[in-house]
Amino acid sequence: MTNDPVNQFEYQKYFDKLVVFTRSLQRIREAKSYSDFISEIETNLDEITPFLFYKFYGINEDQKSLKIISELGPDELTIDLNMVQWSLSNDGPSLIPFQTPIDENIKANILIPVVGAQPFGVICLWVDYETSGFNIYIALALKMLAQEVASSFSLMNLTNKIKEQRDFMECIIASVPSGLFATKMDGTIVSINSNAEILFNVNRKEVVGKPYMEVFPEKIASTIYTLRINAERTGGVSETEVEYEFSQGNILYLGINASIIYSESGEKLGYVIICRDLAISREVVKLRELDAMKNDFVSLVSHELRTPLSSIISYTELLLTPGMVDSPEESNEFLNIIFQEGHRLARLINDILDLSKSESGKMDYIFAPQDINSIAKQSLRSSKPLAEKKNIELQEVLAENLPEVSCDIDRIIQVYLNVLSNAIKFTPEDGLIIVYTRLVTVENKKFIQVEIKDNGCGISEKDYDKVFNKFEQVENVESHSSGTGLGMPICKNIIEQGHGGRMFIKSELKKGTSMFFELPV
Amino acid sequence: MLVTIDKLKVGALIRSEIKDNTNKVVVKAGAKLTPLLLKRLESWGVKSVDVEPDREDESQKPVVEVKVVEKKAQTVLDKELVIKIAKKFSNVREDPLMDKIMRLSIKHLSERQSKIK
Amino acid sequence: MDSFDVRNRIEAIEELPTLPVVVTQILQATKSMATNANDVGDLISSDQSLTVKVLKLVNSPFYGFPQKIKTITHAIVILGFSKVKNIVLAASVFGMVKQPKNSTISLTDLWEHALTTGIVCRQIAKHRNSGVDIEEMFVAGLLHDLGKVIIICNLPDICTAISENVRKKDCLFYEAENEILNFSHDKVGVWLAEKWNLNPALIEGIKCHHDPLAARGDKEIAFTVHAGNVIARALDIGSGGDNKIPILNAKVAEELGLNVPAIDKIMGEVLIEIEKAKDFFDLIHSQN
Repeated sequence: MTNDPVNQFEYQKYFDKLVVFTRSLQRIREAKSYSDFISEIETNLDEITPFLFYKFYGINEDQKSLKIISELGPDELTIDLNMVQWSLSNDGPSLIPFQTPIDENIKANILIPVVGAQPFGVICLWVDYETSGFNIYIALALKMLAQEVASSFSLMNLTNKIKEQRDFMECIIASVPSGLFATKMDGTIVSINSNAEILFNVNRKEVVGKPYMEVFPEKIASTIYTLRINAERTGGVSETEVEYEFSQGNILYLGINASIIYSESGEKLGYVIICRDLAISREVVKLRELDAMKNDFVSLVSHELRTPLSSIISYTELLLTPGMVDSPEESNEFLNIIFQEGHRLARLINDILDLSKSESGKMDYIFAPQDINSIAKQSLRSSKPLAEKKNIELQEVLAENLPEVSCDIDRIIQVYLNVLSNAIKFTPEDGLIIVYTRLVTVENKKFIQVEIKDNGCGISEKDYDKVFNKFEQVENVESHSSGTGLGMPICKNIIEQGHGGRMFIKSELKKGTSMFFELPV
Repeated sequence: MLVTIDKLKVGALIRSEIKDNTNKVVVKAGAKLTPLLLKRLESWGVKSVDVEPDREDESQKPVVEVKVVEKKAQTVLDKELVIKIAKKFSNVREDPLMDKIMRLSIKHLSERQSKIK
Repeated sequence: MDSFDVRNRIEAIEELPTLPVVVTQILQATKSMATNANDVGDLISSDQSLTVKVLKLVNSPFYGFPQKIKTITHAIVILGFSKVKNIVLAASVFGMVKQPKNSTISLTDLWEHALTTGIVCRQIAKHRNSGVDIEEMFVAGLLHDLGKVIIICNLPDICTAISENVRKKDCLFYEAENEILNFSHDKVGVWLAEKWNLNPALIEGIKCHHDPLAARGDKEIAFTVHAGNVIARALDIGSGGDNKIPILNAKVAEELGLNVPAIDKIMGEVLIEIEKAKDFFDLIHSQN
């Protein structure tokens, strides 16, 4: 038959047709959208053989029911399920002539099974010809079409699966309640969740693909760097806490945790870094600080108490050891020291209690309207002997007609005396101390201000705070301290916590110091 | 008494010798059922074996007796098949794949036979 | 005896089995894309006995079509050109030669083995799902032992010698052949297949079914027939002229994905298909 020139011509014609057809099949593979995909299938079908109607049946997961993927025809045209199932098991297209034609024109069905790794469905055509129209070219072309459609479906399924998995991973990352981001081994950011975006004030689009060193706040970046080095050393995880200024005045405490990501084969792929807001509030921070302070205070106090106590014990021991005391004068001297140290101890303990009370607000104040000037005068009189020792002149400049102030007189006297004795301490021989009282207005509120000014050596500005700190005594060349070091802090508490006033210093080195305290009217 | 292969206990004493179709004794009377032997019997497709009864098994005797005739026939037929196949594969037994194919062959052909019955 | 002599003897045989003319024509027609169903239908219908056989086989549960197929042309469009071509081949080949008297090997057994091999090859191809034409595999399996048919029918003295050897050495027919003739039935089969103008890949498959790694070009058919042959023998249906089984080449098994569970599954499925193909087996028996 192939020697027959006519048939050879036919053969060549079909061969060319097939070549062209192969190219048009490409369009199915290259379809950009699902609807394009379906319409390419339809176009290609039409090129192979003319048909009246068509329905593309997809087979459901259960292999027992059908759904319509696409169709071009009336609803009444249907296919038996067992025909469809047979077609799926038949590995090529079939033309099935109808026993009785449905109508004049519709004479047969063509069933084209679409089967890949699993059966996808069957394309059914209704055609107006029977056996004579069906040749090997048509059968072959339809089979090729089916194969192309099947591999496209497989690819779609695969792509969907991959997309599903990726979406799922992204959901996991997004729902982690901490800031999370992942980097490659070289630090390039691969993925970041929205919590991290908010935390570090970055935009995902701008940071993915860039090294974290470049885009994160410096403090965070350097913390992470250290963590990474540690993690590599230990081969796993490393974590730390860091203080981070989230926004103006808003400080967060972050727990940052870096782990190495390993592939299934043990290869290092990168890092995942998680940043948790430790939600430590300011109160907790303050409590932590206070706790630390308390420990310091306790140790400070024990130290201060021990000093006089050890003197007392040492001298007493001396007195009790026979042969240690040379003379009655010496023994008197020792007894004096013991006496003084004992008093000092008593004062100290009192002050500590005072301080504690004043700080915790447990001090008992008895308020009564008082004239600040008369208290001033009284205090000056009491301090006179002390001042005369150093030949320091005491003066007063007291404003007239000052309103009365509601205060606890004994405590205010305590403050006056403390400040005055301090002033005397820090003023050299022949110095001058002036006490001023006046009325001031601060932010629409009236205060009575007392200023105690001396012309002593002054205190440098950086030491202002030290004045009011417990036990801290400013370097003082001149005087020898017999104080407890608690006086000023107690005074400050009395004025501020106890009376709602204010206490502060102004000073000039070598010129003098002014101690102010204000009481609300 | 005849016991089906799934109820055979290791340590049971085999009462009657088991012969192949050429009348050669492949398992002697009085042999003890070892785990290995049990495995062999299973792979040969043997369905039941005549063993010395336990004290407790005495009560089952009557029920088993009824089935005796059928079971015996089956044992012989299956054995025939097994031996035929074994002969066929005798030159290739060392090849691990062929050995497995032989077992598959016995399995499928036995199933087919029992369906025909 | 060398192959040249044997070939000459074979060529000299006047009654070398030829395919019926109509079959040759059909095989030829199905190579052209222009061929339509009516053309092939007319060819088959021109041979009455062939038509009867084909109509029986197309309605076999082996093909499972849910309706009765009434005409040859319908069979062609419904089952497809490939399947019908193979049915024509099988229908023709089973009755092709007559069992010679005093022959040591039964043709019926041989054809049963051939048919089984065809079914196994088809099943292996189904499992492979690699786009290969499963019907081609069926034919390859069916015709792989063609050479033996020639030896049995046309070279009876040689056949007897080989059978003697088989019995003495208790070995494969193939091994006995090689000892006596220095070559084997695969080559004989190739000559016949070439005469019949069969597809070259098919011919290569037949040629190398004992030595599949030597196949040239696409080795798929050779591998499949090799494996099909072994499994068909393991299923003990029909006979290849001996009582033994050749080894399934490990590399072939790996290439075809034939691990133990796969073979297990295929065996089960093949036994079911064989039940369905009863019409084919009946045809063998009625022809021999």
